[in-house]
Amino acid sequence: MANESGGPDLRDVWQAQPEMEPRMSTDEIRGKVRSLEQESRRRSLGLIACGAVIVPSWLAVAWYLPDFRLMATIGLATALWIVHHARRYTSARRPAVDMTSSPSLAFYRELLERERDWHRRLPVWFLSPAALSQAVIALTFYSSARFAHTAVFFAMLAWLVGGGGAVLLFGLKRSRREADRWQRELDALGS
Amino acid sequence: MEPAAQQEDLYREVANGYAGALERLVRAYEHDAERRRDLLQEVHLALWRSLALFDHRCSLRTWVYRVAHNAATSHGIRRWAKAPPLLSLDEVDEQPDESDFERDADRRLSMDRLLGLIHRLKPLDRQVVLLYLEGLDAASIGEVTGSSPGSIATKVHRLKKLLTRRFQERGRRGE
Repeated sequence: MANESGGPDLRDVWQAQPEMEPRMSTDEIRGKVRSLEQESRRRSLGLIACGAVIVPSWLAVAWYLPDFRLMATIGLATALWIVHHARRYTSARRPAVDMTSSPSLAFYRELLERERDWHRRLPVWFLSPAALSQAVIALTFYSSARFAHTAVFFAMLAWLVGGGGAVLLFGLKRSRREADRWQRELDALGS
Repeated sequence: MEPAAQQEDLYREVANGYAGALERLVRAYEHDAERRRDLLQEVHLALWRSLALFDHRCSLRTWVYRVAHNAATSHGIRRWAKAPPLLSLDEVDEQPDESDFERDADRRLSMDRLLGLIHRLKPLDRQVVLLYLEGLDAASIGEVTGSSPGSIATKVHRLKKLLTRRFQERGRRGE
């Protein structure tokens, strides 16, 4: 390329870059793999511990506040649904180890498909239960004998439903836009 | 030989034989020094894990480049989505070259320009350019990327044309 371009030979320039990064020994690699696995286990244990404290506390509070029992149950079910699916789909976003040695084109296509599908499924596993939960909360407030149906009450209810609805609509549009963008990348690969 | 011992031997071979190529690869994917170190570790980890599955159905070199490029692509994909759009080789060719030609005379600045160009490329075009710069021929690049040798040859031809024109322009302006 040197002769063609009249400039330096770029392959030579490229390959003559100084090596600056410290190399990793096999022991360091093994240690790193172990620490990543430990970190992942610690994170899972942490989540379980949080759940073990939060869920019974929440249920106990709901038990003493009968008006809110339905709301608390629905809220809890929604939270568990979202956490379960978030974990499931977040791990589905990462390609498996045996994929990493695939030819780059296939691997890249797989990555794009995972990203697209993650955004496509978001309304199903996150937005639908969140919307349902909002509706139940609003209905619980409305049907509760504790709250008089005054103008302020309706304004608060409208704010709750309207605000939640706007956030969910924004999330829905955004996830669709993201899914479309990843699909366009995929289409460009095929052309 | 025990699989674990084989994995370790293979990793040693890779770490010794491809250290330079892996460092150059991560430079082409990450500007930032801190992130570059993280990416290099990720690439080494991906290689270590993948070598347990190495079945000799392709050469070790093809395996190493596949895993390294895939790890780097996986590392950057969500961040690239938020960054300015990446370009194909054709699109980069249409963009004005904004670098200072007068200052671009030595090898280091040529290197900076080359890296600047590579950082703007879409993942698959970036891989072709990097593998070309590492000295692989079109057939070997095709084996790593999974693209047809014809498409690789076209891309390499475009790349050579692009670099030739840019460096000839530089030469003229530098006179």
